Amino acid sequence: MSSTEQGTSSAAPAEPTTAPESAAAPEVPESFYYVHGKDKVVHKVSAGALQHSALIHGMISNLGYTEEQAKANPFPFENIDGDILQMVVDWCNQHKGKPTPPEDTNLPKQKEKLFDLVLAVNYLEIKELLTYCCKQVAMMVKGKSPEEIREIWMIPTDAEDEAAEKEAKKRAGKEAAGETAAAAGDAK
Amino acid sequence: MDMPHLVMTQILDNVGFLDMLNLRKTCKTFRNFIDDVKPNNDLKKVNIRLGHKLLTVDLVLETNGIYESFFVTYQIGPKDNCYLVYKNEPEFAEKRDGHFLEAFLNDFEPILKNQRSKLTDLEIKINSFAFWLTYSYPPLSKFQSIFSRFLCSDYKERERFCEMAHEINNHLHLETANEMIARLEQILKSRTVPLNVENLDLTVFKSSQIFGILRFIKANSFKAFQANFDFCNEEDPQVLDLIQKCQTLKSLEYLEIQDFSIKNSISDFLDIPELSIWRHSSLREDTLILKQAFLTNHHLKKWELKYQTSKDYNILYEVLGDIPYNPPANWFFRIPNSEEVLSISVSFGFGSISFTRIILDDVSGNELIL
Repeated sequence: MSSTEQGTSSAAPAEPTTAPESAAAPEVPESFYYVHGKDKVVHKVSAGALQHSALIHGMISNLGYTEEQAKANPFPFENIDGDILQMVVDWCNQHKGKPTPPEDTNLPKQKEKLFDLVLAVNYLEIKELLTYCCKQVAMMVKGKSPEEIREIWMIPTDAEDEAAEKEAKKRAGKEAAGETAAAAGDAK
Repeated sequence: MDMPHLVMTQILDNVGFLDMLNLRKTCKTFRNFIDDVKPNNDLKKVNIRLGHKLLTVDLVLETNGIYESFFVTYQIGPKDNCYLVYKNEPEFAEKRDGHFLEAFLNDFEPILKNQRSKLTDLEIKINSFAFWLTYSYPPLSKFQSIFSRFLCSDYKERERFCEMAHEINNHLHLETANEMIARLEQILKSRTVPLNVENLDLTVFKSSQIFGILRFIKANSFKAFQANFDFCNEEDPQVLDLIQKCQTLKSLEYLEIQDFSIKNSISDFLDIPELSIWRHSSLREDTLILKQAFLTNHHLKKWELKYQTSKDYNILYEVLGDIPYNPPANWFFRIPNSEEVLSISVSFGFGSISFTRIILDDVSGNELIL
C-alpha cells in the first residue's frame, strides 16, 4: 500500500530546495477506500487516514484493491451506527499523518454516544482514539458517589443482577425442557 | 454499560484509587470484576501507624505530578465494641459497631490485595510508648474545648491511661500490634503476586514480623528498606540472624536496621551501596573486610555500623594504622585508579564507625594514608 506520507518521505533525500516541490506534487497519488455503517451511507476515506484502524489497515493490505474495486466494494460495518462511523471517519481524517495529542476534548459528551463510540473504536482497533475514549468514560465517574456511578454507567444493583440471573436460568431451563421434549417426539 | 473485558480493563486503569473505592460499592458483580482485574491506580504511598487504641492510615495519590494526600483514622470508641472513624476531619467522626482494628482490616484488605501498581513508599509503624510519653485522647468534636473534655465521661478513662507506666501501655497494645501484623501478613500472602514496593519502612516489635512482611515484597523493584524495633519484649533476643538469606533484599540500594544487631558475615551485604546497621560481630574483622571492599568495589558509597559487643574502638589504631589521637578519628585511604578517597571515621560518642567514599580534593595531603 502506498500513501502520501510514504511518497514525500521517499523524496526527502533529494536536494533540500526541491523537497517542498516534491511534497506539493507527490509522485504516488493517494488511494481512497470506502466504508459504510448500519445506515448504508458510504464514506470515502484516504488510506492514510485509515491507517489509524488496525482492522481496516489489515484488510486493505491483504486485499490489494484498485481504486475501482474499492469503490465497488465498500467495507460494511453493520454493527456501527452511521453517526458513530461518521465521528470515527472525521477523527481519522483530522489526525491523518499527525502525531496524536495527549488529550482529545472533541469526544461526545452524551454518554450513550460515547459508549457506542468506544465499542466502534474497539472493533475497528483504533488504539489512540480508544485511549482517549476510555479516559473520557473514566472521567465520567470522578468524584461521584456509588449511586451516581451506578446511574451514569448504567450498572444494575445486586437485586437487579440476581433477578436477571434467575430469569436467565428460568429461560435456559425452559429451553432445555423444550429441547428434550422435541428430542423425545423425534424418537417416537 | 456493557463493554468487552479488555475495554473495561482499560477504562478502570484510568479511574483512579478513590473513585475505584466507590465503584466497588456499586454492585457485587462489579466488585468481583475489579478484584479480578486489579486495575492500575494512582496510589503511591501508604503509611499505616498503630498507636494505643488508635490506627491512622495516610495515603498519597499522584496524577501527572500532582500529589494529593489524606488520612483515615480508626479509634476505639467511648463504649465497648464500637469505634470511631474519620477521614481528615476529626469533627466528622462516625461512630460504628465493632473493633477498630477489624474495621481497618475490612477497609484495607481489598486495597492491599488488589494493589498492582508500584507503591513508592509503604510504612508500617507500631508506636511504642516511652516513659516520657503520656496517653492523650484527641477531642471528639470541635465543640469540645479542653475544659469540656475534662468534664466529659471519657475523662476518667483518659486519666487512667495518663497515669499508666509505659510498660503497661506497651503490653496492652502488644496484642493488637501482633494481631495487625499477622493479619497484614495473611493479606499479603493471599496475593497472587508479591506487592511492588520501592521503599519499605517497618517499625515492629519482633524480628519475625520483619521477615513475615518482607517475604511478600517484590524483589526486583525493592530499593530501600528500613526496619526499627521500638519496643522488644524480653523473650525476643535482640539479634537478627541471617537476614541476607531473604531474596527480597537482593536488589537493595539502601538498608537500615536499627535496634537489632545482625550476626551475618559482613560480606553478605557487600552488594548494597548504602547501609546502616547494628553489628554483633568482630570489629577488627569487619573493618578489614570493609576497607578492602571499599577500595575495590566502586558501587559501595556509604556504610555506618554500630557495635554493641565491641566497644573498644581503639583497636582500629592497630588495624588501620596509627594517626594522631584527635576525636573524631578519621583515616583516609586513596582508592586505586580513582579520584576518590575512602574515609573511615569513628564516632566514639555514638559508638559507630562509618565508611564513606569522598573526593580526593577534600582531603589534605598530610592526612592521606597511601
